[in-house]
Amino acid sequence: MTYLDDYINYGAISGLNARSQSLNEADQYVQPRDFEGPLFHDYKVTQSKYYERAGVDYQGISELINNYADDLIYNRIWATQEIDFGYILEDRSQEVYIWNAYKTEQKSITAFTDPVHSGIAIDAVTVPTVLEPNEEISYTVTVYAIGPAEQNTIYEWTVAGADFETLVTGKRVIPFPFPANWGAGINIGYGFKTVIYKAPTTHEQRRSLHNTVRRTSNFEVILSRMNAQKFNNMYRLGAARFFGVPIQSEIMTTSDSPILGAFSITANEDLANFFNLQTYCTQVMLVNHETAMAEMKILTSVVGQTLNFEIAVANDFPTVGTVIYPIYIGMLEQADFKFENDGVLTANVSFRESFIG
Amino acid sequence: MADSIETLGSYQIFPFVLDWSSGLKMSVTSAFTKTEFDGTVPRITEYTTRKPVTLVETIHLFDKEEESNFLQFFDDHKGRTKKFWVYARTNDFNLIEDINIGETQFDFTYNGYSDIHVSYDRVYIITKSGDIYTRRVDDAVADLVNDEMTLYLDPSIDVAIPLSDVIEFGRVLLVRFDLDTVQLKYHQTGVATVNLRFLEIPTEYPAT
Repeated sequence: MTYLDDYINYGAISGLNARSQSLNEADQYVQPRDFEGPLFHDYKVTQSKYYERAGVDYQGISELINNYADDLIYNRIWATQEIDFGYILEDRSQEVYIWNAYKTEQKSITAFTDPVHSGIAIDAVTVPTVLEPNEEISYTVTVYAIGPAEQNTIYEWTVAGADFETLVTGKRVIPFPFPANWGAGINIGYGFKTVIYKAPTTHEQRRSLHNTVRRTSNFEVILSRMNAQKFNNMYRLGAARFFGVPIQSEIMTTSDSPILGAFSITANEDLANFFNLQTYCTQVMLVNHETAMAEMKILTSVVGQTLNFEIAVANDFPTVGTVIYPIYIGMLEQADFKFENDGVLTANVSFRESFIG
Repeated sequence: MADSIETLGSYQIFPFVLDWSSGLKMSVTSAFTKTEFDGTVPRITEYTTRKPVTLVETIHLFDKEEESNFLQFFDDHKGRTKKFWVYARTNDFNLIEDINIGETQFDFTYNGYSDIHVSYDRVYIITKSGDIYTRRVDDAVADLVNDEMTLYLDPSIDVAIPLSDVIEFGRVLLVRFDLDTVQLKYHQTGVATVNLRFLEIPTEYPAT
């Protein structure tokens, strides 16, 4: 889209107008045209034979002849170049598009390479697959909540003799599902970073290095039997992972039933003064502390006491015993274990928020 | 009655109540150098007439609304970046007469303040009814013979306040947070304790 925006949607073509085309000639480019095809999916150009051959850039545009738009949009293959899932909290899917933009020529997908990474899957791709003129085909890519810390997968396509790559990236997040011991208190930190130039006269110049807080959490968990074992193993897994860190001070409960399949949940609490939920958090976590079952959800909105999710709840949470926290994405900086006996574990855990961007 | 907040410009006032049971710590940073050689008299070079004050205090947040307001205040000021006003709460002046309507001149027991007064100083008055008045100290004149001191405030106080109604008469300091981070120590979901450090920034007081 960036490419198209720059070249087609008036930016470059405005330059074209000013340079060498008469107004009438330019109009045919500037005015909306009947683009025949699914032009405005989230394409990024990975391979343009025309681009490589002609070396088109902003300086060269004014030399193009009237069929510029045809060559630039049609007579080529478009393919999704990159999908970044960001933080992967739950199973998510997006489409990879391949569009044969040739108006009269049939083209084929003649080769496809799937590196078969864990944590990701794509629809079966049959080769060869013939693409009729102006035909678009899509394949669903799904990343799973379970998988490597960093998803970094490249699918390779050969279409019409040209090679394309589709890069799929994401950072996997695991939930921290254990209850904090309120008896020991909970510390939640909020931090900015300011650089200060200070003169001997006490005059100062100050500049904030980031506009949103970075949070930290420090609390104790007391776990017995299965939860102790789960925590023990999670720590080993999570040392190099991003965690969904619950903000315990903004705990929510619900009376909704069933929770399974819900796209929204109404909290029992007045959420107006839940600062993190209202200001910084775009994700929440549903937890049943008793079983350490947790599911993170991307929030689309908070309306009154209702939390709206992008994707429906996938697990069968009981209404009684399930709590909801806003979460931040952070790393487990420290966990000091103390086994009280062979089945009871006490741990002090410290998390630090990762950059939001 | 109502508060009469004057001469504080557009900067916010830190609205949370100090916990005196935890005490209020204060220190003053001097900005000077001393040059000294054997056999000579030391020489002091002072860089500023006002020394920044550091306040260390504890506040408690008792419900979700207070907690949210505090986090919003901290967020608005971006840690150490932006300045605000804070009532020093140290009752710095001992008023010795009633305040009359329209008065700008107030007599106090002499306490040395007139030696360090600068024209951008701000003071506050808290009355028994809880009303707060803030004013700029235009001038401070000592009367050492009578052990008194007169402060000239701008603008005038537009109500009469009997001396017995004055609870506190102290400084309002222009400060920023001295640390970029705050830790909320939660006792319950909406009840938290926060330790804070404020640093005065004397060079940034508005002139009027």
